[in-house]
Amino acid sequence: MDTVKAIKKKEKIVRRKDSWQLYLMLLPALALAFVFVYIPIGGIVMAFQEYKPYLGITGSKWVGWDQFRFMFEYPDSVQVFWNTLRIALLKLLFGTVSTLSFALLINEVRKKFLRSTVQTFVFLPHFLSWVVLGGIFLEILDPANGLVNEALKAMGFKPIFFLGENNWFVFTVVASDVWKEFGYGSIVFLAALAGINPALYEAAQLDGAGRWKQTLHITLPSIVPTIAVVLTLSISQVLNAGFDQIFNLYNPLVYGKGDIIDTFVYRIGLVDGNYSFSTAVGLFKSIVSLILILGAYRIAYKVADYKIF
Amino acid sequence: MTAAERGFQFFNQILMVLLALICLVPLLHVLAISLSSSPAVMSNQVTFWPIGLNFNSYVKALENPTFLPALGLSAERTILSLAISLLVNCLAAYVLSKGGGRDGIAGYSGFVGFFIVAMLFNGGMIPTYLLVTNIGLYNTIWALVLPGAVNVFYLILIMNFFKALPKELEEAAFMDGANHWQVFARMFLPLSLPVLATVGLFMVVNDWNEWFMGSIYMKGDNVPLSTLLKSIISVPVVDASNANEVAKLNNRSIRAAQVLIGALPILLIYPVLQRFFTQGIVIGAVKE
Repeated sequence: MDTVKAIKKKEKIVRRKDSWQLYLMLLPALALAFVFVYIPIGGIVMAFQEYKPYLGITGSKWVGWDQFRFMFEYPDSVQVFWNTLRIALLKLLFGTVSTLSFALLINEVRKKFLRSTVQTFVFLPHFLSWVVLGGIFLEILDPANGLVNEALKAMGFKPIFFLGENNWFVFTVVASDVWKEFGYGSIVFLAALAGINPALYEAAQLDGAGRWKQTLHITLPSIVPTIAVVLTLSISQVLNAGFDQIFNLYNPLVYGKGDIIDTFVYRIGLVDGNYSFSTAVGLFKSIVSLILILGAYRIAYKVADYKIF
Repeated sequence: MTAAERGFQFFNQILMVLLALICLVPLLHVLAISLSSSPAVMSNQVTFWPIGLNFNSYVKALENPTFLPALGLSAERTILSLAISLLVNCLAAYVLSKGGGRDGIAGYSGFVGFFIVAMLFNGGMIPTYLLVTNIGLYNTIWALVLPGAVNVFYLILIMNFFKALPKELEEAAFMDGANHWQVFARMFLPLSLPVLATVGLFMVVNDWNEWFMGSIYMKGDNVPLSTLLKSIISVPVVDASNANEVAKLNNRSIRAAQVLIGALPILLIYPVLQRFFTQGIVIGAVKE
């Protein structure tokens, strides 16, 4: 007994002595995060100033809440807020339904080869950038000679200006996002489905339940916690309608319903050079998002014991 | 199996094949356009099979004097970023996976809080842009590599994997006189290949696809390929009656070729690493 204690004690001393190595290992991540995340956080004081690049943060005039007041009164920013919410909620709704349905249906496929081949292809769009997909969609949705409109014409319909008309633009953004992500998003549901105890199905079969009854009474209830987590976590994203996607698809014709907070912040800030106003809008978005994220994590923890650390 | 079930199986399989095709068809169409002759493209004859097969548009795309340097910059950025980012995040994950007890570091929860805040909050586009330009990174490759090097989401993924490794292994190594660096490099990294492949795939895909930083931090033609592509494809949408329409039509094949060259590395690495990422994500997402 004594020797075990002695060894433990000696080990403890050694550990304490070499923990400086651990701090050294942590240092690069700490330094990079400090410089590129924490220092810019200090830059948000610009939101309370009339920032002029040649005066800098220390020399620019202090205007308090003026930028925020301006933001709430400016008709464009109110419009942009609703656009963001509309696009994000539509994506959330159709995205979740399509992803979940796909997961349930692919899970029923018994042929292993077919299953993995289909999965390979439906995961793929997730990994292509919106720049590449933007190029592809501009080609196939072209009003004059794109593939989709050629097909519509062949079926006797009028061609549709998918990327140049406000309502069709919202439709296109939501549909292309669903197209890109439904396969990849299904992974988390498939993992949950794979975790269901097979004994439950065997028992149900003995009780005479068909596959439909099994889905209704075993499969769905078993993955409710996963659905709950996915939904609550995506609610924290309702102010992210997809900068990358919209920036690669939109044009001045569809600013009316297509302009979202992030594209607005970019245009006002970096294109028009109105740094302070843009930072104020960005800060407003960050704070609302942060509240939503913290709320969502709390709910996810309560309903499904989900925690990240 | 009942008749109803057989019917369901049959239609379900057809539906699944259709969905796979829907994901593939846009790519196939653009591939066919890039390989077809100009007249065939202009008269809208091309659907999924090249008509008048030729590789001229690929030659033209690569002859563009800015295209190859952009491709090179993208490759350099992706490799540099993968090496730095993977190392930095793995090192931090190793430390944090030990927790705050006897094996870990003092001030553990403080460090965790530091990274969580860094994950949830940032200064936004303008302050970050001003910082990067003020510290002299503007128009250098470091502006594309360093700002995103620490990714707390990947850090957590790796950390959860490290935590799951059997403790006895490292205890034995420490008894044999190994230090933390040796345990990290010779034990943790080799044992974590599935999660490293997953995170590595994410990093490569993100860095290759990322175009926005390239557009604000780099100057003129000194941009990564994704940024160059962005400027190539963002031709304003015009109406069919426009007089320039003919010129634009001639460019359709070249643009298609450029877009596909931009996607090529992803299309090449994706099948190789696909088997890792489903596994890796599940491991990272599911907690004890």
